[in-house]
Amino acid sequence: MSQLKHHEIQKIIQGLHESKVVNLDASIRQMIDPIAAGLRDPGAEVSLHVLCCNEYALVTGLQSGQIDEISSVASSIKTALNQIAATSKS
Amino acid sequence: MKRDSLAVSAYDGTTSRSRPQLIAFLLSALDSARSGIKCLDTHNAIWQEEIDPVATLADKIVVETLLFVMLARRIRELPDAVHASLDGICSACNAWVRNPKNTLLLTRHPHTAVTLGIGHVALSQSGCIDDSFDRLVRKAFSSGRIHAIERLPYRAMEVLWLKSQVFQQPVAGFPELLPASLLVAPAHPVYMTEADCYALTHALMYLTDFGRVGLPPSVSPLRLKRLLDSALAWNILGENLDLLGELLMAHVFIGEPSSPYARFAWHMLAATWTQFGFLPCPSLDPKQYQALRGDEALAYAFKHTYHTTYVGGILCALLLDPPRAVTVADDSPANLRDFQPLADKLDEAIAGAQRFIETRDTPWSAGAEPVEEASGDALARVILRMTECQTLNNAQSRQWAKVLSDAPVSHDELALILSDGLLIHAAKEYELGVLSRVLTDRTRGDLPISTTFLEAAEFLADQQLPNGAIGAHVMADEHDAALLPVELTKTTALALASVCNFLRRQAA
Repeated sequence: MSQLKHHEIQKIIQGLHESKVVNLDASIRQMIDPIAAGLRDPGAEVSLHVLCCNEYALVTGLQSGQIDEISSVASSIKTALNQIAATSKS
Repeated sequence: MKRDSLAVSAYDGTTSRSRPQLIAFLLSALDSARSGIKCLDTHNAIWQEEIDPVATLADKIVVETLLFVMLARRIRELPDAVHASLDGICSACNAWVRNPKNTLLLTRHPHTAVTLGIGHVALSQSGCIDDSFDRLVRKAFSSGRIHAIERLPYRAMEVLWLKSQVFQQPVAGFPELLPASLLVAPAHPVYMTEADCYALTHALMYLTDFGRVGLPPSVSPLRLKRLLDSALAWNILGENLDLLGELLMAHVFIGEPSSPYARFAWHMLAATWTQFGFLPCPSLDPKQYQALRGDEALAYAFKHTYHTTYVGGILCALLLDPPRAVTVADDSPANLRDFQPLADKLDEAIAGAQRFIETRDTPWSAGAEPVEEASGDALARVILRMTECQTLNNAQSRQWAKVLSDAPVSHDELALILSDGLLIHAAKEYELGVLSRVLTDRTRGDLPISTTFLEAAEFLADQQLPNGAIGAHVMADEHDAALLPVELTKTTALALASVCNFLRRQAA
């Protein structure tokens, strides 16, 4: 397998960000430090995955809150509700 | 205190913004109700969903819509345009309530008079009279057959409340239902489910006639206020806007809308409503919605927004014309409970933990561990603990960052709300490490003692097994190494020791 170029990696990661698989706006330190501290609980399962390779580290496994997820479809839902309102008036 | 200023001081210090905002939200919710009812036939054909053997989802929506109308009509000096809108909704709902199918149901199954009766009463109170249907509803009560099925306490209260509306007079029987109700039980969100929260809010709706009647002497307003605040903290962290709205309504019913928990919950509700233009139900699944097209998508959108939007609308109606005056209860920590028994209980748990640890490890004492200095302010510490919680990811949420940044509460109040929410969440998810750390943080800071802090500490002590180990889940794997229960017991016992010393200092 040939090595990926930087722009290819960037495209993959951007896609993962847009699908909410990763959050590019959070630093790796912000994600890793608290989780490592939490592992003082023996038996706690690791809920995130860290993939490291030359020059890149990819952290996945964290999920956003409910309202955050809804914000991605909010305007579409509002449009739907407006359509219901328009239909009801006709 | 004037009614206008009640709504203003409780939720926003700016006179010019609060009332217009409430009216705008109310009208938005009523618009949603009106348009949803007009399209109900089309959507019902798509849902094809039964709520119980005698009612469909559409029937349920009609009842809830008419309840919304009934409560909106209670606002004094409602503009004529709003009354006209309410009249339009009633006209559209009439055939859904008074029809041959429901007439047959009332005749065969008198207990259905509760569900059908709410819609019927709301229509009657709006001037939409049907004497024949009214006779059937009244007969269900006078025959006694309305009680012919088993009901939960708050559902039994619903029957009494409806009777008062049908016959337009006070009804006896509420005190007899209280002993079995959550209203007087030693409840706390650590032990409650979401269904229990709804039982709590609904019991208060019917017991107080949505705030018009005071609480009976056997129900402590202060105890209820603390329970509601705890439930708010839990659902703030859980982002359940539906329950937040109902819990805020409950605050209005008992005349207590002004706690920091209530102010922040309202802020969260209003911010989301302003941004989205609707309030999402907890059931709304963005992935499910995105897979739908055309009428199916429209039907889904209404189904998974109507209830929370209605709750928001009813809340606004209550805030615009509060049914009872606000009372300020003396909620100082000293009135919470006598700390001595709890401190004694924690001492026993610590002693038990020590015995267990010393059978598996070298001699150990909670007092011998070095005390870690608290770093950062209380709010920063709480947010750090939120990121440590493996079952909670609000700290990474953009929406949360927005809601937290302009919250109408002080820094310390926000820390208290989030800390209480996190204690409840950690206890319910059995993240005992996080629970221990948050309890310890509270003992080293200046946040006030809350009911939740005390309940969480007692919960942690109650997780002790007969052999002294703390953490009931360690029993799940008998072959697990001794290290797991020893380390966890040390962690939790240290937290209990911090709390115990803290409580003794307060009591001194």
